[in-house]
Amino acid sequence: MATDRALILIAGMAAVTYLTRLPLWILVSRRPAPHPRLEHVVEQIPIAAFAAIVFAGVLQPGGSTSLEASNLYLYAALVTVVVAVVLRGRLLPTLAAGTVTAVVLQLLFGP
Amino acid sequence: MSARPGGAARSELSAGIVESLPLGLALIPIGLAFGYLAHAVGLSWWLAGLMSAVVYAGPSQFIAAGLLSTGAATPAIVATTFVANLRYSLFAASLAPHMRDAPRRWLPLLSHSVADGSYAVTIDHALARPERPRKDQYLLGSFVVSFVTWVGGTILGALAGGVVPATIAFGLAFATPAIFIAFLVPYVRDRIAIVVMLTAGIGTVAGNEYLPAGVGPLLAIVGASVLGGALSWRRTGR
Repeated sequence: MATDRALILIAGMAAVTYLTRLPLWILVSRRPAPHPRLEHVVEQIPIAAFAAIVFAGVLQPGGSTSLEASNLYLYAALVTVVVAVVLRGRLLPTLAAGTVTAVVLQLLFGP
Repeated sequence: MSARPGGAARSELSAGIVESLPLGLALIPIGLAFGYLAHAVGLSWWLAGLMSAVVYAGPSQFIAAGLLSTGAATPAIVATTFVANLRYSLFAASLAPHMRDAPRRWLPLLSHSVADGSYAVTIDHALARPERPRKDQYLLGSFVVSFVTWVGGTILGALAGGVVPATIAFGLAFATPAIFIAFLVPYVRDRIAIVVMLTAGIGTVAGNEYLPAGVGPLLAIVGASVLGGALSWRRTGR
């Protein structure tokens, strides 16, 4: 790929992505009075965002939907959820348990 | 807490760094995978690293690399990137109320630091420790760790691409869902949370299946948040 085209592409992607992040700058510096009903909506954003990433990551590994028993991420996710519930979401042990399970399953049963 | 000026800011900065180390660990295999993919679609190591540094938005970069391999035109890739990353506006709206004491000179850089992982770590911290000042420095600390591991992983992946065997790489890629399961689980405390989780999760999977790249997660997150917000508003009656 030509360097010129790549640089234009990267500049364009960077510019539009920065636009999507601009509300942080605007909202922090303007400090608008929060609307109470909107606050209820904003409170739900973390769980909605995390669920979106988890469901797509587990059910669509590599980008295509896989609900079959051969999708090893399903079993790794089960183990990870159990560890996360027991340890109340502690990051490092949950990350380690999930990733090690996925690697081991892949080595044992992967294609 | 130190009495000297800047003590609160400094302790938030170091907390942000330390508490983001697991996130950094999760970002390395994803960075390696992106670097390898970017190299495969014709980006040299420094262009791949530059993209990770200035775009700094993993999922949209994977989409862009995928589109490049299909021969998509530059404007189409840029437009897709915009839509795929619009969820950062939601994250920004969710973080902003916790950053009211941020000095204005940090805001341009803080805006660039809004990404999935740092958002998750920082909103967790902000909700758990509302009394602490200078959450902007916590976000900045998280950004430093994420930026170094994401950009470093990308460059390594582009240079050393096939070093990690594909089977192990596929297992390591589970790091993303694994760490976001750790973020998600503590939030699932009541029925409204379960409704929001299922709506966002199933909506994203269905959207990815049937809608243009990047649109599904955005619609699902907005829809689930509005639904959850309406339910919670009805419950509290305020």
